[in-house]
Amino acid sequence: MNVWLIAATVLLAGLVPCGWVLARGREMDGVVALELASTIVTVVLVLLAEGFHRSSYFTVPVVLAALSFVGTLVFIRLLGDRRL
Amino acid sequence: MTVDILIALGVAVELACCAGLVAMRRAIDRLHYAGAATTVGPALVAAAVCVEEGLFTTNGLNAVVVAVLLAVLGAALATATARAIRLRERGTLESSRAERERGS
Repeated sequence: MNVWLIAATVLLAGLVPCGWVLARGREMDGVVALELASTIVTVVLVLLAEGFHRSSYFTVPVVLAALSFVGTLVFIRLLGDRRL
Repeated sequence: MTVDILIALGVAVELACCAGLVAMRRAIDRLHYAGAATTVGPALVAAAVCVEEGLFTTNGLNAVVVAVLLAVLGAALATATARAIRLRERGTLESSRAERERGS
């Protein structure tokens, strides 16, 4: 267990507040929480890739950073033009 | 030692943004914390990887690519989200008379 893996484990705790807002907040609060959760997971994957000393693992956060952008845009398009 | 400090700062910034997400009440206020999390934290972690491995290595370049992607796409996403929140709350992107008077 090195410092990278410890940091990744600690950072995973940040998903709890995001999940709480996703579960309890309104729709747009959930979209914002989803944005933050995808950022945190991307950083966790970078930390894990460096912690395991596998350069091929860095492909996963690169792909996730691009795909989470597209996924969240779909949610914004879906929810954006609906009135409360 | 430098690597440890950079990692600790990066993780602390991300966790602070999570705390801000919960502390704020309105979606537009929460969006500020989600936006901050896409710039500062990933940049610090990428800097830690570059200090550990070197910038012009596979790991270093990949970490920089991730940080740049998150910063650029996160800014675009924050703009789109803010527009959607405004549309849902006000029904229009036009500023109101009171907002125009405040701005002048």
